Amino acid sequence: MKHFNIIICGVGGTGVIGLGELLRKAAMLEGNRVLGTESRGSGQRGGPATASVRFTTLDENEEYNDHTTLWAGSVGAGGADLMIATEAAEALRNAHYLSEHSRVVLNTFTLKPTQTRQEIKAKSLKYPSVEEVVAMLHQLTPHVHVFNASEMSMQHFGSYRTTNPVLVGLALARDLLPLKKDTVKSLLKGVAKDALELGFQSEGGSKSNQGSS
Amino acid sequence: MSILTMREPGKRVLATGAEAFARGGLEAGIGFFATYPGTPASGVGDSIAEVHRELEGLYFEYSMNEKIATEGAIGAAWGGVRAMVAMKLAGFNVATDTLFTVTRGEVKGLVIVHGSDPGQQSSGTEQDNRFYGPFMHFPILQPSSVQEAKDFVLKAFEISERFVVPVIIDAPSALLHGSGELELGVLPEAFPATGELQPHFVKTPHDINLGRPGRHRVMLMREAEVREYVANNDLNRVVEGDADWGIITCGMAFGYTMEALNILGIENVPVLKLGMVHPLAPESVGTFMKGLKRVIIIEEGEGFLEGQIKAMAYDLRLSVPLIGKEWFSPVGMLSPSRVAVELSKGLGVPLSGQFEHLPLEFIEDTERLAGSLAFPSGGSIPMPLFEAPRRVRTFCVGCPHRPVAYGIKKATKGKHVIGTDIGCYAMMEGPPFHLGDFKICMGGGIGSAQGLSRKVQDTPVIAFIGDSTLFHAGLPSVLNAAYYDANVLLIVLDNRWTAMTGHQPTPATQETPDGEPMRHVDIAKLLRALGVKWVKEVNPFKPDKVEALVKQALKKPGFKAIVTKGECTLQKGRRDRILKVEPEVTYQIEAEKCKMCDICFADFGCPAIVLGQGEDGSDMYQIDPGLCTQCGACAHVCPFDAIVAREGQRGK
Repeated sequence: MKHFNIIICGVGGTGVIGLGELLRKAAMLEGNRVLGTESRGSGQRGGPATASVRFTTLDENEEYNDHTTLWAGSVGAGGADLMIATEAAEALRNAHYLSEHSRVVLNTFTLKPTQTRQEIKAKSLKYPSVEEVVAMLHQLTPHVHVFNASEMSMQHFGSYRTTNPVLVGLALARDLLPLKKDTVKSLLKGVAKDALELGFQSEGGSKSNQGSS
Repeated sequence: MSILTMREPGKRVLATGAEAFARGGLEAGIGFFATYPGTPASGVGDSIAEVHRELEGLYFEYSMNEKIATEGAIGAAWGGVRAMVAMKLAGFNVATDTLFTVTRGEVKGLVIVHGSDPGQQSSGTEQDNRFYGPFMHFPILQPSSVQEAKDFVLKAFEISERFVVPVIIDAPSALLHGSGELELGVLPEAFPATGELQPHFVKTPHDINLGRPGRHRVMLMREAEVREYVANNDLNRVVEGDADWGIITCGMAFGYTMEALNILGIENVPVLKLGMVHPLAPESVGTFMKGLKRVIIIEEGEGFLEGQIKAMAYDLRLSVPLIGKEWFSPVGMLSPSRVAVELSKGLGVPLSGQFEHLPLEFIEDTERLAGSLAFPSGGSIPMPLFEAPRRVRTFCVGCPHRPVAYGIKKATKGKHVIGTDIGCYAMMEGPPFHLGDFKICMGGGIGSAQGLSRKVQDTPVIAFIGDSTLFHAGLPSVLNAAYYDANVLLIVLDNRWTAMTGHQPTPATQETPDGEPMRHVDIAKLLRALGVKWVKEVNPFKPDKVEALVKQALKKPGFKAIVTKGECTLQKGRRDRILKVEPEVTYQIEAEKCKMCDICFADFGCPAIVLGQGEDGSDMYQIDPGLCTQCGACAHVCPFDAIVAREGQRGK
């Protein structure tokens, strides 16, 4: 029996909830036992968004029991096997899910919040660069994979809307996500299928894989 | 195909808790479903709303409020069909007036899905409504998984019919918004379009006073019968173990406890999982506790089980030490991590390596540990390990409330007391507008503003209310304010949808997202009919007009109202995409006219206005064409006319 816990984080509008649904469905299609949850309501209003995907792969003839079953939709502190950050700085807000075993798929896209007059005057908005985010994450785990999926999506498909399929393709090709590409692809429609392939075939996506993986 | 209408018994599907409750209702063959949408419970009604047209015989409505939904369901149950309602915790408070009188053996076949919100992620208060159970004497079920969410609905109907009492199912946000596997049961061939008027109702026409003397005894008798029933039912179950201590738990806390025990490597502790948390059967709880040296009660919310079990232990002469809320604070939600940490502290068992990298204060503050999926607006604030940029909730790009707020702020210059209300517009209380001095509950703004206006003479008193909230709880207050001519300016923020809760229609909704016209109520006419003499409508995307109108209104004594009429931008956008409506203009900031005064960026605060760079590399404000919805409001905000529409001026 093997459990796999994914935490997806970003800001409203970056497809966090939809990505959670996609990966849960894919995990279920592959015969895993699946759970998950998501933050609701405020995401589209500029707030942070999170979703979780948890699944258990049972060996043949293996039975579930009360003690080994996953029950909660949410991932525990230090419990993430994989983090997918659709907005780079949001990885920091959710860093407590990580441990030295966690792998991070970090999209380089950043979205700065609106500022008040006082904040503009004081230049008090601190917004970390992707490099700073990576450096902080490296304090927890060496397995940080950085991809510019938003740029790839914009470049090939003229929109950010296909960012997440690109990101999933990139992660699948590097064995960061224990699912099959064809399963994920069967759940996608139209241009999203192409975006998944683009990510999967892409070699140059990983921008600054500073840690060993 | 929706999993609600699949006719494949035994099939395993992925479902949210909300969908599972809805499916449960359908498998139970309900003939009536009513709800007022409120997060976290809104998904139950929304799931049924999506499919009810395919299910002939099933009546569905978004009622005006939870009390009306409940009363409708009671009527339908008297009409001989199974009836179901769903509401959030605050809505349950609204429905209690009705519910208090119908737990005395008068209604059967009524199930209420109660959306609770430990951690207060989307609620005005953190409150444990299970205490209504002993107060009103109705049974409460607490499912622990998506599967149980569905199965318990069927059980609840059985209990409701057998004991002639409404049954409440507690549905926390973690379950409603969570996903899991669901094994489908059998869907009935047809749903009951009509039923038979209940005999007890027909035979005793004098029986119209439901709460009359004598019924109190009936109510207590019913409760005793339910208590006996649950002692011999599979609603409760025991996970066996041979340790000399045990755990009693319920709802989501059961799963969290099992995962926490796994984290701590404890496998031998017996766990009693209660599916019905009120009434409790002394037989099952007493038998479980007998011989144990210590019992730990793990539940979300207040010590509801704990109080009952402690009383029960006294009656049963059991002297077993009971631990509950002294380990598991009633504040915030629980989680496997939080339960593991508290158990580890209490039992003196070491924590596993997954917590190693967390600083001690993070571990100590277990509420923070649990609030992992919460948005920083509620009670459980996830504090990151590293400093993460602060994000403030703001209105969507193109939201009609933003320019209204801008206009009001300019008109009052901060000299006002504003009673705000429940809805998107409540976000005006945050930066950059800070409009909103108190917020109580649905309709509470206009209600309390009236009393304030009697005693505060030199500060203008303003009340906000949205269309859905006006229909829900505002109308009697408006009548009161108009009748007694309270010196209050009412601003109705009509965006035509119950927007914050997921865009359910209201009587102000004029068109479906596909562009179908809908029957609707004219709010200005309604206010005039209620006796409001001065009512003006305004286009919210013209903040200068809003400003002028608010100034004018505040010069008038007595009760007056402004209705801002602008559809929620998300729904309008949806319709434009479906109908392939292309914007006629685009808005741009002309670099040569822009003085970098920060008004559009900071004071107006539209996220589509971004700090970019001009051709010479200097800072300049720009409108992100990918984000802009062409609402045009910012063009009225710029004092230098630097924001211009290109390709034909389309004033909106």
